Amino acid sequence: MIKRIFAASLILSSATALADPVDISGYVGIEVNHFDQIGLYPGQLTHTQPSLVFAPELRWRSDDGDTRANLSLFGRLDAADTDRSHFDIREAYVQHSYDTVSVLLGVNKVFWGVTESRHLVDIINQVDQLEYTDTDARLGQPMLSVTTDQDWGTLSAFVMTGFRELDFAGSEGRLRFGLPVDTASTSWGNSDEEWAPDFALRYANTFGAVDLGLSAFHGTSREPILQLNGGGTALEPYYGRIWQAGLDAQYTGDAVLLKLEAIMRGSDDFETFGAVVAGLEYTLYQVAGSDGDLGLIAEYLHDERGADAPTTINQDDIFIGARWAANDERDTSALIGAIYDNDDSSTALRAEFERRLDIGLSLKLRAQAFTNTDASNPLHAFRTDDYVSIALEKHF
Amino acid sequence: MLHQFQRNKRNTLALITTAILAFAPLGLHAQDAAQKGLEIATKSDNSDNGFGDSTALAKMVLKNKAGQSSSRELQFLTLERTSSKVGDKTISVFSTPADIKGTAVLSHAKITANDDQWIFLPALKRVKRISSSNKSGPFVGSEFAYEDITAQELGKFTYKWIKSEKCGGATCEVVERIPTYKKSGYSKQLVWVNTKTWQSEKIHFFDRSGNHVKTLTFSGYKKHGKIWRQSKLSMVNHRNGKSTVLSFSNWKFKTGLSDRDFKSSALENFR
Repeated sequence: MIKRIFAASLILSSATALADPVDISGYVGIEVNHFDQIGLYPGQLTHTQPSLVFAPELRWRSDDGDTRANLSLFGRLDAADTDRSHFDIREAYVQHSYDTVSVLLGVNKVFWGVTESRHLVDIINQVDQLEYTDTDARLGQPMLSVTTDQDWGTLSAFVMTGFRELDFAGSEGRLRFGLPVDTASTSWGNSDEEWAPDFALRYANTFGAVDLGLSAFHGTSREPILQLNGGGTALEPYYGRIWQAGLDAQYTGDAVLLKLEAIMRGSDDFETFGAVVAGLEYTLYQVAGSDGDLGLIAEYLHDERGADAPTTINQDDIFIGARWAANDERDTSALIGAIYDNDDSSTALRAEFERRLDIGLSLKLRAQAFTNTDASNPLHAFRTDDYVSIALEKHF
Repeated sequence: MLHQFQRNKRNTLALITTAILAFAPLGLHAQDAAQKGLEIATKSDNSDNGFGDSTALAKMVLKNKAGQSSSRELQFLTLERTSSKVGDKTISVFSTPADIKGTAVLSHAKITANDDQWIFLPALKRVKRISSSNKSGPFVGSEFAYEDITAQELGKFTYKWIKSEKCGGATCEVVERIPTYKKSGYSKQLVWVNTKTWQSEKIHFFDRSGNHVKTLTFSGYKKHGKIWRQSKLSMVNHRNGKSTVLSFSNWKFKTGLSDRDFKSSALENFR
């Protein structure tokens, strides 16, 4: 412990000696999730899942702003499912900007895309599946990336290694399949396993009211195929090698945003397929004489993948949602939405509410429910896992 | 019938002649007032020319009717664009409250079309293009509307000179300006322009029904080289009794910012 403090202070003092002081921020939080129904599978926690979270961030910038170093950590301690207790390095990188080129080495999170109900194009980072209350949580990805900003747009190239496997809830956890996932028996499409290099390229630019992104990826699939083991007692993840081409575009009008994401994905393991999310967001400003804005969102999700590819629940779905921002001094906001499966009527509902209670203290309420799940839909495994979650975060 | 028509016609003619005689001087006067208003606004706008780029720290204190206050701190970065056909580029980066630290809004001002706007959300590391058509909505819960905080380009208004009057130790020209862009929350604004510095001292905002709803006061002007900058903006909302004070510090000019820093892809670098 003393050694660690010493190491930390050494890092801090050497960084301080360089130029600007290190900027320290982040949050500590408490989350309590409540499942009203009993789990379907033996050993699953009943009702209450409390946990603590700690997410510090250290940022440093050189005086001229050309060199930056970031360290962003995330840890959760779960009292009910030990497998949900996890620690991750979200960011740990050094970045240097030359005149038109910027180079980044280390662990980072990169987001691509425009749609709300599904992030199709976004492929750099693995999903942090243990953070089921936050669908945008991602695991940090080690990379070397080079970005150039030109008159004709922004072009970024990524070389990655140190693949991040998907984490699964333990046997005590909720929102899991009936069979446990045996991550010790993970198999790979490349003999270098998680060290096989991944490559990605992205072009992004703005053309008047249209923001356009084009992307290409070759590497290890972020989505595993879950295979039944020999004894039929567990699921074993298989991560194959894939290529993916992606397009994301948004048209920004007065009150309407038109959004499109589309991908083509191929592999030796499955037949090439296409998938698309297309929709719109219409905002009613200062709704009903208030300061608040109400955004109405509708998206169509289509995915042509076959049974040989990693499973998706979004073959042919409609998403309807509403987003409300109070525009008050407490930044109060809320979101409700439902994804409806056109094939089998399975429906997933979600609601979120956020508000700053005091200086640095924010409240997050979330709820999720699964209704009308068809036995053939993967959501059927979660049909008793409706939950409400209350989280308090103290930012510093 | 015909007779009646002719009489009516004659009456109409007489009426028109009277009208022309009566309103001609006033018409000329209106033109003069518009001309003078535009001249003052142009002078005021030009007084700012050549700042290149600027950065400043700002503290925003929001007060409600009961006197309870909350604050936020942000950095403003501005890139001057010399053409009168395009507006300046601005970035606002929040450093407090801590839960929105690093949130940044980029705006490329247009003259009459909607500004191009992007927001960077650090928790998601996501840049979203947003519509700027919501001119009259409150900026981060303050008494400043979006249209009050974005670049006040000359071409965004038509002008009319109203009067000269004493303001503090100087003389102010009072100019009425009417927004030419869509969806403004204002029917007009009255601007007090100091004839010594050609800077605004005060703005009265009138809502769509013509009521005087808000007053903005500028204070603590200081000259940085050739450029004047206020250190305090105080907005009082007469309708709801709330107020917002925006205090500036650390004004810096010609810091070497370029177009490249004002791209949506560069927003996360300001965290």
